[in-house]
Amino acid sequence: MVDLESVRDRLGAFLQDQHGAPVEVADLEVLTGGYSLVTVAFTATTAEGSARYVLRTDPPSDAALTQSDRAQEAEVLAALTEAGTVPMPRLRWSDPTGAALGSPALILEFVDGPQLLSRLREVDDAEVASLALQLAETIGTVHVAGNAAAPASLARPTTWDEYIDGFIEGWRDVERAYPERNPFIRWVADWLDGHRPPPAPLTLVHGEFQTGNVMLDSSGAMQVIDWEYAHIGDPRADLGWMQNVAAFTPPDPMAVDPAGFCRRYCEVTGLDEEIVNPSTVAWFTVAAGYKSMGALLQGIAAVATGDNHLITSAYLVSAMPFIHSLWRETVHALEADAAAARSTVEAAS
Amino acid sequence: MMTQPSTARILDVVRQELAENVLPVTTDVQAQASLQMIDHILATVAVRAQHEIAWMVEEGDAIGALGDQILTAEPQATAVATALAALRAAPLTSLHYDDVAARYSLAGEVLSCAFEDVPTDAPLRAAVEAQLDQRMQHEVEIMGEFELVART
Repeated sequence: MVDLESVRDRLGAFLQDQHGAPVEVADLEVLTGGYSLVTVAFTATTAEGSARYVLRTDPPSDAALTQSDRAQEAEVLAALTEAGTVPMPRLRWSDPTGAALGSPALILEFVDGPQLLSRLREVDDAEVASLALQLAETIGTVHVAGNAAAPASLARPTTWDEYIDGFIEGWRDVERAYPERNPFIRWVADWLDGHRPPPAPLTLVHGEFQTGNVMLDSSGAMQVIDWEYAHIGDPRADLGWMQNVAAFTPPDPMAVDPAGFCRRYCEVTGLDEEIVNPSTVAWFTVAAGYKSMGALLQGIAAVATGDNHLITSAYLVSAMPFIHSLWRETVHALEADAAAARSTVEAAS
Repeated sequence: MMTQPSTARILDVVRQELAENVLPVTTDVQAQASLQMIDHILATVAVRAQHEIAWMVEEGDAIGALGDQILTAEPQATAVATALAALRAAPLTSLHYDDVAARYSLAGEVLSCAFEDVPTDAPLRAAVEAQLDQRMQHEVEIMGEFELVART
């Protein structure tokens, strides 16, 4: 449980230091919806007025489901905030070491609107289709603007092949690190290696793009949140990961019209439909999760060894068979499509 | 020791108590989410209690037999040979969980190597795929219905 009194006191002192004058912190509300960090909305009032913000902070180390670097996230968010070209809530303050706020933390502007996932669950099919196209535009904008906006400190793969090798080896590393063997991961790494899509230009990738990490602001515009896994990579990784997560938490906005979604995305980014289409995105649906799922499996392994007592980690043991099934279905569908395409070509010749 | 009610049945009773008498009076949203997770975990543990040892033994035996077939048909399958030797060197000495799970992990390595050593167009490939599907069928039966809780 989050000790909101302690959070309020620390925030008050921290913001007073930043502002140089008294700041009253009130209306604290723990936001649920994510599994990795503690997220608290609050109102800060100064002599000039009140504003609502969101605190993103690491949980205590013995309660951390996954590990990510708040200092790097702060650097990314500061660069994106300064550029102003990527649709996201502005970073206002950060405490990357946790010296003031008790653990590494970021403070961002509050988006006064619903999560896209919640919205998708409330609306009719026509509205889902409309929101899906808006989502394609939003993530397309991130990928177009992100390359220039990303901080120079983000590691940039030398080549696309090197980056993709990292995905495949990443999965193999995840499997090796787990305390028992997992033939699904070894099979899928082998399959990914033998069925690489055509390359795409590398750019800023959100790294955990999903409808739960998109907010609709009061104007209806989409704002992308939770940038802890941002990196330079293949933009299709975001589209694939979105479909992966949507299998766990439906609906999948891209599933309404996968080709239409990709077309709109290509219009925004200028990428060719040979590069971004439902089949190439599906490859990333399988490939994209090695960092997130790797972190998840680390937590589950820690439950096995007694180093972690989190109910969420124990619960997410079931995420693995779910994802194994998703991989099998996706790969079988892609292979059936490829076989059908080969038959068509052979028949024509 | 008493075997009736079974572990699975006792877990069903615990789930029912949590759902009918604990969850309705729990107002904290984080605690509600925890209870939903606990309910799912208990459901999976109930299936594991019923079948887990048998499934691990059966799958391990089947993978060992498949490994033998692969070595006969695919002499270049050196990784399978190494993994199978490790499996054979660890015969099942008891049905205690840790012993069975350790052997199951060795069998998992044999199956993993089979995917890397047996070409996709080889006659035995279908049997390798079927063994993975068998494993998935058991996993899915344990998992049951699954949709992430507390995500909105």
